[in-house]
Amino acid sequence: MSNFTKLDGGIVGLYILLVIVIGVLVRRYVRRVDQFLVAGRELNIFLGIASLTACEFGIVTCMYTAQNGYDKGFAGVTPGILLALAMFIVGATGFCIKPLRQAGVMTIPELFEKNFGSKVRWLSGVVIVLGGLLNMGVFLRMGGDFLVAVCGFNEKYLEITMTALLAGICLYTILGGLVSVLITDYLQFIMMSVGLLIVTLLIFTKVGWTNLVNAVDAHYGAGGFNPFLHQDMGVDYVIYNAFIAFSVVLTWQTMIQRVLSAKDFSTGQKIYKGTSPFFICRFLLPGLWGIAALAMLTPEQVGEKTILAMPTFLSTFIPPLLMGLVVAAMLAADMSTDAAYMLTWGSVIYNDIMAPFHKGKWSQRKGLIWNRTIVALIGVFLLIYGLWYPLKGDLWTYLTVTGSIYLSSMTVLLITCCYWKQANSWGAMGAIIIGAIMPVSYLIGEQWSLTKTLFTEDIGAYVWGVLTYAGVAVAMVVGSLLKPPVKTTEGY
Amino acid sequence: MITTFWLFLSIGCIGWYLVVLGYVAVKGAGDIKRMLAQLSSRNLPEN
Repeated sequence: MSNFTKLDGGIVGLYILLVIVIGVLVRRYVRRVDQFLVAGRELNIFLGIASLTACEFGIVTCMYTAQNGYDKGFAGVTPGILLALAMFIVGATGFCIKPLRQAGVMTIPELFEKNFGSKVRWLSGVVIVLGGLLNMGVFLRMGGDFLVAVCGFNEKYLEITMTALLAGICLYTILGGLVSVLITDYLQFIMMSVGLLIVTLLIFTKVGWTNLVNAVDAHYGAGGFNPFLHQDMGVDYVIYNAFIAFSVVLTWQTMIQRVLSAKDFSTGQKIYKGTSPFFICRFLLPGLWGIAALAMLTPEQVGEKTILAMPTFLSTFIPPLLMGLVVAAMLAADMSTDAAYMLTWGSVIYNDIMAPFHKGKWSQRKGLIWNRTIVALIGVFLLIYGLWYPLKGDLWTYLTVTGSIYLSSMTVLLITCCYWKQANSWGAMGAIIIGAIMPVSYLIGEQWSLTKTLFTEDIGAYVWGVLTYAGVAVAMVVGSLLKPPVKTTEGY
Repeated sequence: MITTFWLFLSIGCIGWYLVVLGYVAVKGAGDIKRMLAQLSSRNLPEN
């Protein structure tokens, strides 16, 4: 029986209404496409940190990081440490983000057009959107699963609840674009941070550090504290996640959009450096919630779906009233993520995939109408895909594999675009094709009975992920060297 | 030894987050005001 009461429901409802109203009210500041997509490049450091933090932490994040804590103990925090390191290094050195920001582009594919031509820009847009939408397709389902487990919702009302929530998010994103997203992100940063900290402190005081450590030790031994010793992790897991971490920091459109929206490069650098420690918190704090579930619940209470261990634990651990605050905090986190992701992939669809149609010549009014329509259509996709895709395996692996559809190729393209003069359109095309084929073949292979063992046990997601990066790099080098060095309008 | 590392990292994260929450909450509000003022001023000629 959940501790979620009607009063908690009232707190959650009021908060959601407040966010939507504020998000809608700021629509009057958006008159141009660049204001809709990059907030007129007026983003400053602290709002940037709040927005990036809120955008990169949703219910789905909380679920998979808590699952990592439950399944892997403290070692499950490893991807967060790698992300924080990658983000700080890129922020401090300006690696790739400096030429990207100085080019004055709104998306990464726009930069590619300068070196690799318009076809590569278009294809890059397609794989970015494909990977991004598959990635965020499970957000709604995870949010729903969380609410059912924590609040004890009747599942038959879940679809209506999640649809209404998504409609509210769509409303302010469609009307106010990034300006609405940034301001609601700020509110959601405060709300979700308060919720995250209160629950973590509650676990420290009520469950206790010793119980957390003992639970991890009893279930996973030394592997629960050291990723290299964990039976499901090891060197290949760490290497794969290091690749993912650098790729995400360099090319994940929701992150890079904050750099591209910053008022100057120095501000973008400060946003990256200032946000980097959050990526440890992002994995560690919910990870502690997952470990607390490991310590307090029996395996029978959790069942086979370890992803639901944390919400099941929270449903009886958090007292009434505080429950309302925590659920509002989690929904806040989810709303900011959904809004930012819809806008981000929408920006790539308009700016890059539709570039051959508008050629940058459409009026601001027409551009805004199209951008708003695209965001609405993404909302419809989320609703449909989120309800029917059967998620197998652990969520973090699904997210990294679907993200790899573009992470590997876009990372290689970005690095070579910025620092290798011989890189050309042949190499870029080869890299994009290999980078898309390999993760998709894994997704298909793990579902098909004939190849399931080969993909999931013999090779494994992590080795396959590393092989994808290697394959993409080889394709880029070989393709670029094969193309005759004749100057064209598209470069070499 | 390694449990001490995780303990310090956990406490460090909570401490860092508390400080950043307070700082960003105050400074971020100022950033919003400035951003909206800039956007308003740019939109004026079209009004």
